[in-house]
Amino acid sequence: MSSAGETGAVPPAAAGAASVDLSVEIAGIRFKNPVLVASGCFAYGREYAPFFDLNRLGGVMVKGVSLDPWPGNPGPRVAETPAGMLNSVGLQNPGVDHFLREDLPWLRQFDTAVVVNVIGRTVDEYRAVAARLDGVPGVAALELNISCPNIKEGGLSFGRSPEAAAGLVAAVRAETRLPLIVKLTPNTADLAGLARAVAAAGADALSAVNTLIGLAIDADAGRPVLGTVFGGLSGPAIKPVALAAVWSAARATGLPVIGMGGIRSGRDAAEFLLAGATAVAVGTAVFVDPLAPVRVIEELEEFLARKGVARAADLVGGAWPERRGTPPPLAGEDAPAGAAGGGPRDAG
Amino acid sequence: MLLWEAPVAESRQAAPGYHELALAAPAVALQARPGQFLHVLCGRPPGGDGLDRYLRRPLSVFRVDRQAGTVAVLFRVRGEGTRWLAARRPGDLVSVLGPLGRGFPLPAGAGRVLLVGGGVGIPPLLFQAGELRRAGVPVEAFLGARSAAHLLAEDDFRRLGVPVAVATDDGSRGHRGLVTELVERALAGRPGATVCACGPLPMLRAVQRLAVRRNVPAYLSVEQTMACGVGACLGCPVRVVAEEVYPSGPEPWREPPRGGDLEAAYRRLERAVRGEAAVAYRRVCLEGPVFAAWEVLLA
Repeated sequence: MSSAGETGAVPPAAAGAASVDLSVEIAGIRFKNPVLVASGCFAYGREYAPFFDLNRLGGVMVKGVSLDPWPGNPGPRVAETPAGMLNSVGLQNPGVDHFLREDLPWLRQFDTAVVVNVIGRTVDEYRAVAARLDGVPGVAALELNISCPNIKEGGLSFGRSPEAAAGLVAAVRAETRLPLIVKLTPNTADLAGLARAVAAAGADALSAVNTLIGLAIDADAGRPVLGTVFGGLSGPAIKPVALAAVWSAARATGLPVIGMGGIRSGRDAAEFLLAGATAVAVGTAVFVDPLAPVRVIEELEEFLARKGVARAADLVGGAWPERRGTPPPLAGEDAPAGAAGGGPRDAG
Repeated sequence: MLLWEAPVAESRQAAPGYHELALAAPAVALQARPGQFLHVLCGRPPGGDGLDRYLRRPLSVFRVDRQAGTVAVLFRVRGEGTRWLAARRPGDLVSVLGPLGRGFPLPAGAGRVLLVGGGVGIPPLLFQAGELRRAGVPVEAFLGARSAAHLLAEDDFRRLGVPVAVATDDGSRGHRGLVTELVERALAGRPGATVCACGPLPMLRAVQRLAVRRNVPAYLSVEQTMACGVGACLGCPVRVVAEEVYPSGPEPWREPPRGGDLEAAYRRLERAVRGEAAVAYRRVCLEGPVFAAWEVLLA
């Protein structure tokens, strides 16, 4: 009987893959590869450092950081659902001072782009966190979280209304020179309209998508599984929704998009790039397989090599009708024409 | 390193509806402490192959054989995930994270230890019983189950030379009633003991109440749904008395308070329950799953 093998050793990428240029650029930041880890799924990195070399990551989107410590929601906070999970963590975090004192210095030892997810209950709280992070060495960009479904104030109350979202983005924009990535919610009737509104207000890039509002009921107990009743759905279950959001957001604004939602393989990542994402983030899959981000990088590299694509950036938007050189889009497709912020950068 | 692809060494039905799975994982067997758990993927490594059993399942370590290099878990076959696990055969690979969490302390020089287990909460106590016996600590086991058919591991405790008292809901074996009634009697007859408990929430609550009333230190292994298992997702919190808390992360157990200090700690817990003392969240996967009875607020 052979015994357990450590699974830390991942085989090297296929021969020839070395010729693929994985680097991408978003709002002036260079990412060594287009695979990041998604906010809320990786804490501030420490928990996963024992599993793989964080230098391999294109970037780390850290857990949401607020002005003062947030306690989070009462439990239960997670529930398994078909092809995914619900969470209602409630953005528990130790606050921006703690982040700057304890977490950022630790993360800076790695050669990976640190994107700080910013949360707040009010416009002023968002502004204050952004101001604290402006000019801090080691922070590559801010990700404005206006889409968390798990808190009563802030978050989604901004993210659902194009006017409120634009107002918040403009206010935060005035506080920072850092690139501003705005994280979009799928819990809206008009994602493209929301994307256009935040683009016009000064967003440099978008990330799509945050979790979908969901509910799990324990039929035996006759009550909701989560302590907060509703939670945010993530995992493979939401991948088609996320792909549609990426497609719409990228085409509506022409801004670079970081795509996320159910990614667990290099092929999934390729689908997001083809839909218009410039980079992707691995989220819930990390909980299932701590090595998932590294596997996604390697599989994406192999995929690109196999397809003869020299640069990851060349795949971006590759599934768009005008890029395919195939018949025109089906009637009713969300059209990019006249979008605020111009058409797709490379649509021509 | 905490992530392993371990071949199944043995797979057997422990009782109708319950399954024991032993994995060949020598490093896990060497590292594991009683009360710790393995976070087990219910699908083919590395990333799983079943979307109706997507997340890992936290399963307490039931026994280890350090010579053979095996570590076993004992679980109730309840849904798609545990059905998949129960269908594994020797040689099949299973992805496990672990050993994880802070387990039970090994109280030394503190008199006897009473182990109180209910249902699928019994398995980690067998591991604890073995370690306590090795350390020369007197141990007694109190095991509860719905019925004789659902009673796990009684013979395993007896083989270790541990006296066992049994309670079942239907009286089909041992005392008819709650296992905590047996514990209460044992404490009334001869005070001075440390209690280690794992089981359903109502049982843990009863043990905690008993510990407060008798002013004995108790350690409770808390079950909670979790996602990552390593402290990253913050999905598995319990509330604890804020003053009681070490900063964060799995710290080694200190000697429990005794006498007046313990009484004061229990009073503080009662104030926290009434909302008169600050509470904080701690992660079951990292700062638990075992918490001291004077620090944890059970839901």
